[in-house]
Amino acid sequence: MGELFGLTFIQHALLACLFGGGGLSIIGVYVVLMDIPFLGISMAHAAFLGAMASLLLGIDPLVGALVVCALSALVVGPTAEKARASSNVILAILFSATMGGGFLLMSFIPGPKSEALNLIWGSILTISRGEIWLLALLFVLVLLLLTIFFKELSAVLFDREIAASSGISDRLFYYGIIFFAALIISASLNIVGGLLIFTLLVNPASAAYQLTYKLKTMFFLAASFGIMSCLIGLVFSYFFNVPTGAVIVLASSLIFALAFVLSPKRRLARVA
Amino acid sequence: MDPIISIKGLTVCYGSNQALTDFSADLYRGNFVALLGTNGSGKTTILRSIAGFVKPTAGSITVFGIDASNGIGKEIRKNIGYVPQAHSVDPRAPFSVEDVVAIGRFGTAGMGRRLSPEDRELIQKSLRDTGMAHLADRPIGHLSGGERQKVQIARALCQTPQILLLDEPTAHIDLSTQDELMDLFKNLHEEQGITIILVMHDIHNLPTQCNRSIILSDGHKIYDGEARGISPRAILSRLNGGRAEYRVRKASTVDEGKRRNG
Repeated sequence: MGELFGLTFIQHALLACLFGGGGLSIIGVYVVLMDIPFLGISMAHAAFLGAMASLLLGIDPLVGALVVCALSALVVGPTAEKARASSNVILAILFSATMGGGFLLMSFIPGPKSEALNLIWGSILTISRGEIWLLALLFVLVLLLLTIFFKELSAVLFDREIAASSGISDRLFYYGIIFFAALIISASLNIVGGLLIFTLLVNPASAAYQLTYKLKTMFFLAASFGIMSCLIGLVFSYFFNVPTGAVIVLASSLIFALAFVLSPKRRLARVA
Repeated sequence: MDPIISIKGLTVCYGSNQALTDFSADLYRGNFVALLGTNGSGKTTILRSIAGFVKPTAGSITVFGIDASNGIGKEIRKNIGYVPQAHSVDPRAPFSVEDVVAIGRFGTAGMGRRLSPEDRELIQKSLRDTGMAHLADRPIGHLSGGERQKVQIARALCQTPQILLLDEPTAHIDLSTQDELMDLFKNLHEEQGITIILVMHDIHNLPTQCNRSIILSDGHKIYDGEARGISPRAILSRLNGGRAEYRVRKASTVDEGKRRNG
C-alpha cells in the first residue's frame, strides 16, 4: 500500500478525491435540501456536451464544459426555481437532449476516442496537475463561502420565502449555489465522468441527510462520504483493475444504503 | 397622519384567474386589522402583496411611504414580520427550532456577519414569549402543526418588526393555545405599538384589540370598517348573496370611517 501512495498519478488521484469528491458532495447538500436533483443531473450532462464540443473543436474540454454548463444553469436555474412538477419534466427533457447531443458530437470526433471516453466514464488516474489546482481552488472557495455565509445559506435552504422575508437576498444565494455547482461539476468531469457525476452530488448528501438533524453535521458527513466513495473507488480500481468511476458510484450508493438502513430518522418514522 | 401601508386599485391575476380586484385601503400605524373572507377571496394575496411576494397586475402599494409595487427592498422587509400559512415540514429536516427562529435576525445582522449577543438575546426572548423556549433544540419537523406555527411567529417577532403580517396563525392550533396567541398579539399591539394585519377565517374569534375588519368575497372588498361594526350574521348573508350591491354601497362609505379608527 505504501508504494501505491508513492506514485505521482496516485497522489494526484488522491487529491482529486479530496477536492472533487468533497466539493461535489458539499454542493450536493444544497441540491438535496432544495429538492432539485434534476438540476444537478441537467448541468452534469450539459458539461459533458460542452466537453465533447471542445474535443471536436480541438480546445481544452474543461473550457467547453464550463461554458455550456454555465449556459445551461441560466436555463435550468429559473426553471427549477418554479419548483413545480412541470419543471422536472422540462429538466428531464433538457438533460436527455444534452446527453444525446454529447453522444452525437462524439461520433464526429475523428480517430481514437479515448479522451472522449474518459469524459464519459471518468479517468481519475489520468487527472492533470492543472485540474488538481483548479479543484483545490474551487474546494477552498466553496468552504470559505460556506463559512462566511452559513447563516444566509441555511436560511435559504430552510425556506427561500422565509429567508427573503427576513431581508436575505435569497435569489443571490440561490443563483450563487447554481453557479458554483456548474463550476465544480465541470472541473470534476474527469473523476467519474459525465454519465455518473450527478451521483456524487446526490448520494453522499442524501446519505448524510439520513443521519443527522444538524445542518453543519450534514455538510461534514456529506463531504466525508463523497471523499470516502472516491477513495474506495480509487483503491478498488487499482487492485482489481476495474473502472474507477463505476466503483465510486457503487461505493456512494452502498454508503447511502447503509445510512438509510441505520438512519435514526427511519426508525423514528416507523415508531410514529 | 400618513398611512404606513397604502394600497390603491390593487388587482392581482394568477394566469387567467383574477384573485383580487381593484382593492384599495390605507392602513395606519397602530391598526390591528382582521382580513376576513371565504377561501379564495383574496386575503392571502393582499398579505403576500404587502410582503412583496406577489407582483400586482394593476394598482400600487406603498409601504413606509416607499413604492412596493415591484417588490420591496430588504431594508423594508426587515421591518415586516411575515408568518405564512402553516405548511408541512419534512420530519427529517436538519433544522432545530432555534435555527428557524434565528432566521428572523439574519437580515438585520447583515450579510456575512455573525449574530451579536443582542441578536441571541432577542432570539431567546422570542422563544420565551411564544412559550417555545423548552423546545429550542428540538428538530422543527418533530413539532405539531400548532407548535410549528408558534415557531414561525417567534421568528417573525425576533425581527422586531413595525408591521406583523399573520396568515391564519391560529389554524391547526388548539383552543387554549389560540387564546395564548391572541393574548400575545394583543400585548404586541398594546405595548410595542406594532401594526398587525391578521388573516382569519373565524369571524367569531376576533382578538379584542382588533380595531378594524376588512371583509372580502371573490376578490372584492365588501366591508371595511370597525371590527365589530357588522354582525357575523350580516357578514354571512352578504358573503352568500347580494354582495355586488353591498360592495358598491358599503366599501365606498366605510373608507372614511375606518381612517378615524386608525
